[in-house]
Amino acid sequence: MTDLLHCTGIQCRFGDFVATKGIDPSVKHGEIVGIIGANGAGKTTLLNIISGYLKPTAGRVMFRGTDVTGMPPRALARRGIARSFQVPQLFASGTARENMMVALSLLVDPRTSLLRRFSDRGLFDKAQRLLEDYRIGEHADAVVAHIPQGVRKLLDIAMATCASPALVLLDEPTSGVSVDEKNDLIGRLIERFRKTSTSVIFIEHDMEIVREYASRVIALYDGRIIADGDVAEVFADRDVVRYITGAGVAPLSADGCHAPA
Amino acid sequence: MTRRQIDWTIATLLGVAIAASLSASGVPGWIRYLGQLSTATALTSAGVMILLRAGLLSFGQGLFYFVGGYAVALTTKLAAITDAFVVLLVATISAGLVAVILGSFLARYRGIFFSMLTLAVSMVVFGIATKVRLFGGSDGLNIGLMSYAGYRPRGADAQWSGFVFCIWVWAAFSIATHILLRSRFGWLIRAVADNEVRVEYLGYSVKQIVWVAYTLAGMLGGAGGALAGLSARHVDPQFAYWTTAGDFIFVVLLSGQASILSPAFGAFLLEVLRSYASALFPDQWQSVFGAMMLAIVLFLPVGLDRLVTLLWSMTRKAVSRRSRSLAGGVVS
Repeated sequence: MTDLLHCTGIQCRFGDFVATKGIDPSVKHGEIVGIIGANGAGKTTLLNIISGYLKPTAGRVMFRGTDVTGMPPRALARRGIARSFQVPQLFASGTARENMMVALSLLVDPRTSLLRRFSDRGLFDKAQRLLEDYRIGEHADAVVAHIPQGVRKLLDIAMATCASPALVLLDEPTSGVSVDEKNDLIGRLIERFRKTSTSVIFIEHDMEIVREYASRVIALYDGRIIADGDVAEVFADRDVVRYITGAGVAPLSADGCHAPA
Repeated sequence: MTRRQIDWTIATLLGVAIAASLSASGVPGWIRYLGQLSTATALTSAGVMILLRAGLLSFGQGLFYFVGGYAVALTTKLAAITDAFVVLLVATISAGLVAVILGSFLARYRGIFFSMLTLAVSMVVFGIATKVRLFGGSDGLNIGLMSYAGYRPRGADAQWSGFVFCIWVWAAFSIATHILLRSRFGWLIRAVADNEVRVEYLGYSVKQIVWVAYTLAGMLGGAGGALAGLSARHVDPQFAYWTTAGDFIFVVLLSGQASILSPAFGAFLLEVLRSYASALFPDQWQSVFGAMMLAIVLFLPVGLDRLVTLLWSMTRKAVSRRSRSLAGGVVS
């Protein structure tokens, strides 16, 4: 079976600065890939390239066997690549439900429905159900500019993924979410995507979360992949320990439990 | 919920149009004329409102006003067509075509660049129009009496039927625009102003949305220009001058952007203000406008329609509370 996403020689240059230096990440169907790396390692640049926001200066992005390099986000969104943002990208003047309704009517319904009435009962109920699904239904009537960051984060993800995409890119889904909500939030998300065997790439700084939920980890350092493999393997890698996780994260012991610190 | 709710905006538009038509022969001519001019300004301002909802301030809607007005003048002059419906159609389509062409590159720009480019294009057309003999130079062109699907009114009847025609064209275009604004596409226009990145990630091209919005605004401007030409029975290059476009912006700033009714209200207010202010302060009527604008920006920056929407939601709440307490009374 071909990979769902297969990149070859992705390079992205901003003037003299090279953000990604010819990397070849790939994702199989149903995989949950965690991307780790220090700030400036090229994590978000990679997501920007895969989702079509940036055009790589060299290399190709293959999605479901077709070359999608340089396609704009709107084309990729329709092909099944969804992306959430580190800073939630919402329609600030609307309510949470209105945001969800817009997302549903644009991503899920056909283009011909664009002239249908916006305040439509079916659309309204569908949006409400989705918000309840993500347990943010109580904020449905609040204007987005006034709701808490954690809720905005979830709303952003809910909007991006409402059309059941094949590949979901999550840029730091837990940043800005309080420590005690973090695990619960990502747990529910991953469970959701596992159930539909949706492939996920997520960028995460919390190594415990990566360890818990990723089925594979890609470690980026200075625009290069320094380790790529299953969780235990990557966290045990000497370069990963030196450049990313540091001594703070204990390597896994053989039986999969945390070694005593 | 299968019960169809009354759309109060459409009901109001129809109500105003019917009331105006019925009272047309009763009210003094000058009020009728003010109303007629307002329909032209209202439609063009509605275009400005659509673009403002997308976050774009067009200083060039006068261009479409010009195209619409001159389309009427030239069709009657060159093709000897005097049917009001036909010339209106020609005007709207011509303005739409011009907007499609200009929009193809203007849709890429935002903010001050968009404003300045729309202004520049319209000023170039103004400059050309003053020199072209076909357009009557800076004197403009006169427009003869119209016929309405075979009916050829003369004298007082002509004024009366011109007014009724303008009112119903305004109502029809306003209803069409309202239906569009309440649709999903209408929300998408707002979404562009809010967050372009998200719109793109939801699978739509921001440029195309802006392009369509610009074209719609252009067509409304063309229809407005046609009504202005038919009302005044004269068009001149001043239609494309930037201060004309400024009037439409003034209307929308004054009235707000809550509904298609807002620019209609603003337009009527503008025409009344203009006639009273120029009668009372012949040399200083523009400072009345300035003071008005200042007051709005300082005290009611969202526009006068906020007062109406507040009142409306208050009455709706009161009504629903009363009906709920009535229902409760029946149960207990």
